[in-house]
Amino acid sequence: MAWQNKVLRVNLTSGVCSSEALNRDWAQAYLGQRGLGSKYLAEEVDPRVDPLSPENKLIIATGPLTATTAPTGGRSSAVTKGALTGAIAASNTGGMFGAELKMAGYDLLIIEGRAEHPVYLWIRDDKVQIRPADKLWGRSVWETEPWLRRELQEPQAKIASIGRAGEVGVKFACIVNDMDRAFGRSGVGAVMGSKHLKAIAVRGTRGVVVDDPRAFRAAVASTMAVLQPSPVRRRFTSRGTHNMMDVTNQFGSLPTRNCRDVQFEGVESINADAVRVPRRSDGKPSLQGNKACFACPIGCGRVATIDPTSSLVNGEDPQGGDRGRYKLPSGGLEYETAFAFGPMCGVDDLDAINYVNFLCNEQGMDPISLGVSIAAAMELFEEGAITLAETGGLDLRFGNAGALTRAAELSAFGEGIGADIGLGAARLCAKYGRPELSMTVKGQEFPGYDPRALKGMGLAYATSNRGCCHMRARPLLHDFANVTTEGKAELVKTTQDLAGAIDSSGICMFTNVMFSPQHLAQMLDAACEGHWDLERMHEVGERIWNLERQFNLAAGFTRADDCLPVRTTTEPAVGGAADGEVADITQMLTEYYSLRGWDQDGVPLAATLQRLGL
Amino acid sequence: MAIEIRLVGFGEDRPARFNGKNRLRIEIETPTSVRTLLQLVGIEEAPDLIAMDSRTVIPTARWDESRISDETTLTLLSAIEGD
Repeated sequence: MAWQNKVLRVNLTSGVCSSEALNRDWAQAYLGQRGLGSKYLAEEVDPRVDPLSPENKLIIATGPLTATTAPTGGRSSAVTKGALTGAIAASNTGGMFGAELKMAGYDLLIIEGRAEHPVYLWIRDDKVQIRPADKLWGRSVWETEPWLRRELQEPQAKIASIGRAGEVGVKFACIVNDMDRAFGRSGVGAVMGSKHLKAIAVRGTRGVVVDDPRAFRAAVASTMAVLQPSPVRRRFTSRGTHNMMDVTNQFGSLPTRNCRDVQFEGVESINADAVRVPRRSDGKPSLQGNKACFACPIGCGRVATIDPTSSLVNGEDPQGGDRGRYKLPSGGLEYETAFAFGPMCGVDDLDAINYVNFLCNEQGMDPISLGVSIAAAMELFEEGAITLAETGGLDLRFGNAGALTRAAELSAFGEGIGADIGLGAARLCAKYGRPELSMTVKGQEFPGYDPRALKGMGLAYATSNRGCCHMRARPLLHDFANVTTEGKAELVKTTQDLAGAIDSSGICMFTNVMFSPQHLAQMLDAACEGHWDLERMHEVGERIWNLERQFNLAAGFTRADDCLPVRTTTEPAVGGAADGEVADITQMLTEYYSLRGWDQDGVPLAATLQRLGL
Repeated sequence: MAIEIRLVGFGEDRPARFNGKNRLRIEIETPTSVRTLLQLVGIEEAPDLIAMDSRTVIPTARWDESRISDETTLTLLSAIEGD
């Protein structure tokens, strides 16, 4: 129960679509979403495969609580070998798409092979079709979604698609669903593009049956009783994640100008207050409101507009047509987006930042990776490694909002210097002979927390199985309260395991600061067969972590990849709570490996694998 | 003794005494502790509340020490763990 017990397998090479029974033993061991998707990937894909080859697979996985009434129960994950990193990738999205796939009757959708010509997938419960998408290839996400609903005569269809970025192989292309939510990180959109799969449209009309409906209703009610009055929930609703920007800036942990700095002088022009200030032109603020994903009582998503008099939304579009579509509201700034296009690029122009965010929604790019890659290009330009000849005359200095927007446009279409930026920061900096300027771990770009001040986050970045990530562990509050490495290895390990279980359950990671994991355990226990408690959730999370680690080791990663960019370990922070300090994970890493039951090369010991049933 | 309290990341959740602003200047008679000061201005202790004295984090274990004195700026961060 809670699982639909069915997997949809689509082979794009042969054109065969088939369904099969879910491996229930694996579901009990790995739950769903990230965990279960990773298990299928690890069983079916050679870790050494080229991520963009037909031999790689793309798995869209729901969790047992997806499409239930569990608060925030609308999550799904895209699991594959990441195009950006070459590591195992699991990108988690909200919106409505995942719940619709589950209601169509599937726990997992496994996409194999490569279509000869562009195609899209149409799933309506048991009816599954691979259809030609030649008319869609070259179109944006914003064009694709309404076009498909018209074509299918199905206004309720939920759609996940790639934009131009996924088609042209931008390494950090994402899969966008519901117009502005995304399977964001690690280049899962590039994998989808390599398969010539433009979109997945799904309409599901079934329910989800839970194991003990009465107990499940009670568990949901008791969770909601904690969630609704929570001051944290209230803050997320009213301010969104953008609220974090003032905090990280004050603390001296806001990555700025490609991590040259840890505080940004222009923060008040682009923070969560700035988006509420009415514009002179039309008297309206950038922030129009908020919106929620499936079954979410939080609604941290933002809806924003750009100043209608801005040149960014008027005149001719370099790609043809006009720019009027950017006058319409789209998904607004979250903290990571604002950090990546703002401080990281030294830009304090709110409209420019909103525009680049819209472009990411429209053409399917991960904003973190795009912003950090542009920041790397800006530093390469200032250092003279990239010249005006390479940029096509673009003055790519930090702080130049016009250069930011143009570089983003070029990146989305793989043109000019954008083709290099689209490689991601690591490949870009290596190409221009300055690899030390790449703020990446395992090839994936930095989120908005500088590890010189946030010590546990540094270890979390270094050890994240999907490359640099702030969501794979949750040491942040302890990091703010204690600028020390002491106790952080255990904290990172424990929260990584818990995050693995949450990421595999079907609910949103943000809930972990609003209700206790005990509430999640109660909902899982009522919804799923077998006994689920906190201890079992940690065990499942640890199993997932070790499975991912084994995949990466087989793919060629080693202890040497569990590291931070040299800038953060050699150039001290200037200002803030860690003034004068560098990041140093050496001691923590040794302790972490030991806590994980790994040898000092970072390889799981036989006893660890045996204990976890791996 | 005049001290200033700065709120960062509180959004609309500021105590009434701050009158919708993020700064409050108050007078105290003797050096005081973070905990006493929080009670004085109506801020509830919470796991996400971080206190900074100038650039330094004041660990929770030291919130009872009388270290807030004349011309101190106490910065309070509401560091809700989000994206």
